[in-house]
Amino acid sequence: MSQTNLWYLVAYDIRESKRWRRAYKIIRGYGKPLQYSLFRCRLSSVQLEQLRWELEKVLEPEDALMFVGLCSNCVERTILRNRVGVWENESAFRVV
Amino acid sequence: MAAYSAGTSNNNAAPLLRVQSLHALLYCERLFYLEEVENVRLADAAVYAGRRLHVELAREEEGDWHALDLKSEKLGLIGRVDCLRRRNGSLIPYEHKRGRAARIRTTNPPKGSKNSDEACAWPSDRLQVGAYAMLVEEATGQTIVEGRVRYHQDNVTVRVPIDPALRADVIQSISRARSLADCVERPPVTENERLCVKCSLAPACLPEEARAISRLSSESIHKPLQRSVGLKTQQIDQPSADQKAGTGKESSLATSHVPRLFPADDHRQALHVVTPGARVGRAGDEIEIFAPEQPKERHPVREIGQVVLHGFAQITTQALRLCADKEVAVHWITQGGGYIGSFSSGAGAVQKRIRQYEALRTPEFRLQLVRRLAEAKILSQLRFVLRASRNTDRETIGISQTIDGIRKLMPALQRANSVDAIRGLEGRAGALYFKALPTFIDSAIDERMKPEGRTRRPPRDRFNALIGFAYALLLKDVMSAILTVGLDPAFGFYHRPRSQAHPLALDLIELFRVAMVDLPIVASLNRRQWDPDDDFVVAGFQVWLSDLGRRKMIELYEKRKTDRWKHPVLRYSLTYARLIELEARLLEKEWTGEPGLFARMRLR
Repeated sequence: MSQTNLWYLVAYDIRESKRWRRAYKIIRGYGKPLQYSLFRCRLSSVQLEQLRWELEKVLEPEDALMFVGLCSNCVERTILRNRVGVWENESAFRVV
Repeated sequence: MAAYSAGTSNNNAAPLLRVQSLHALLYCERLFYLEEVENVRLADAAVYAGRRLHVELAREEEGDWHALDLKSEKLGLIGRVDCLRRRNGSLIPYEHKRGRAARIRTTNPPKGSKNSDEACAWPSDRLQVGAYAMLVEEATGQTIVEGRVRYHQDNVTVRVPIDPALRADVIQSISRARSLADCVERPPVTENERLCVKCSLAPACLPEEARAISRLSSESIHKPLQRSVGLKTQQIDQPSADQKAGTGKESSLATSHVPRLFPADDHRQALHVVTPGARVGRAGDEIEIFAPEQPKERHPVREIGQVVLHGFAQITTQALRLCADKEVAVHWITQGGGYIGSFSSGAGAVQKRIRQYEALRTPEFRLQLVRRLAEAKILSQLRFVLRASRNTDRETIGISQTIDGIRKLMPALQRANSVDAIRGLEGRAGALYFKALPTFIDSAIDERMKPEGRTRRPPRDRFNALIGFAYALLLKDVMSAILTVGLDPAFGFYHRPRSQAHPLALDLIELFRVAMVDLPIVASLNRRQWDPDDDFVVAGFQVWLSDLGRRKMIELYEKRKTDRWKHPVLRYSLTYARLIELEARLLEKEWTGEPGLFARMRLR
């Protein structure tokens, strides 16, 4: 049972502010926001399903949700013009 | 939860069994035992996908969907029926499954149908529906003749007749479950390896290692193991019968097909908070760090594996609670680099601890473990000495004496019949080793960086300040591993039980000192990574790391943790970070019926 973590772009469109806030809070626990309604998350297959389940409890049929899986090549080719430190290379540790 | 407490409030009655647990029981008795008796619960992707399916179903069939919580003292069962429908006047319990139905080959397929296989329910699903049907019967008083299982992946609904045979199966499973629950021993790993591939509990059960050892046990694992520890050193001098036995064993492991089930790397970061006055807080599901004169940082909690607070950093109660909930370990290390303690929500499974106490209180068993641990440590030191002096003239720098001295201790170690005697031998090997260490450091390096023996509390030279701090970092990871596995760090087998330290953690750390601390530090010295002035603070005869030095050491150690290393016995590679947890799990296996694998890792 290999749990290779993959990058995902998570995009959503939520029609009601109350549900939006709840969904936003959930996703913030899984990954970092790149732009409004656009996150990048590094997820194992377990976490992917866990996140989908948690969001499913909040979302309604009119809401949209998209997970875009990125391979390592896609990640390298990503072109960004963003705030500093939004998509940095992940190391195994961080010293503050 | 409430139902459990209702069940246990009556002192004599056993707690009610969850219907799902019968499903687990039929799948694998060990799975049932781990989940229901040891309370090891691990959700995998399929489990979450199943939960999502149920959320979706509940929304789609609004009004039509009635999940029912039922319990029966008579049957001793509690469960939630996915859906109960009335068809032609009779009640039918529905069970929804995310996967595929089982298929049986029909003898005469109906004409024109491409599919000659007929869908039917898996035995464990049949049992589950049968149990629900019996619960519904007791609650409503109506006889249930049929249940249905809906398999969403191939979109079929299968009918399950509730016949006397099925009812008998349910009753029999309940009594089997009860007798297993009363047992203290874990049931053996299932013989059907394919079951383990999709099992969510494989990371806790470690079926692969258990099978490997049961294959070895036919060759009587204990005897060759005790002596094969000196294997590689003997190889240098003369090949022995032991060594042949050893290589034979390893190749039998290699040739047999072994699925790799051990959980892969933890991709989560270790967060070290070093800045004095920093505060760690919580915002939703994020860890928030406020450090003086630095912008506020936020990290998703799932990207953090551990929080290490150095010196006087603060952490809020809310952040601690989040860490407990999301299985993030929190460690405290003093400004001077001493390990203080850890906070971890790891499973404090009492049964594991009882087994640990019982096993470690057996003197012969303890002696055997101590010998193997000491051997592992001494051999890593010896290997490091051999490796570091590979291209030098061992005679002229006096290393041959060290090597001979350590080698001479090995036979004595085999004969030693008390823990104290082994402590003495290990101490002597350690003294020889630390005496030889300075010679591995490039002669052109600043003299101040070279060690003069081993000093601690306080360290008296720069080298000792480095390894002292690194050992504290290592200790926090060993503690984490022990707590994750669910053992009691306070009850060890080698170190004396003292109140302030955790003897089991001190025991386990011996396996990793050379490979994870000594070796990378010596290498970094030779790469001239340290500045004797800026990286250290000298206060009288005491030497500490400066803020800068501490950051460098953290980096060096954390990088070492990500190095991959192939376990010589289990024959798969994993990072040092994972290796610590693996050894803790293997230690537990010494007394849970699959002995022989602990402390067999060797520095190459």
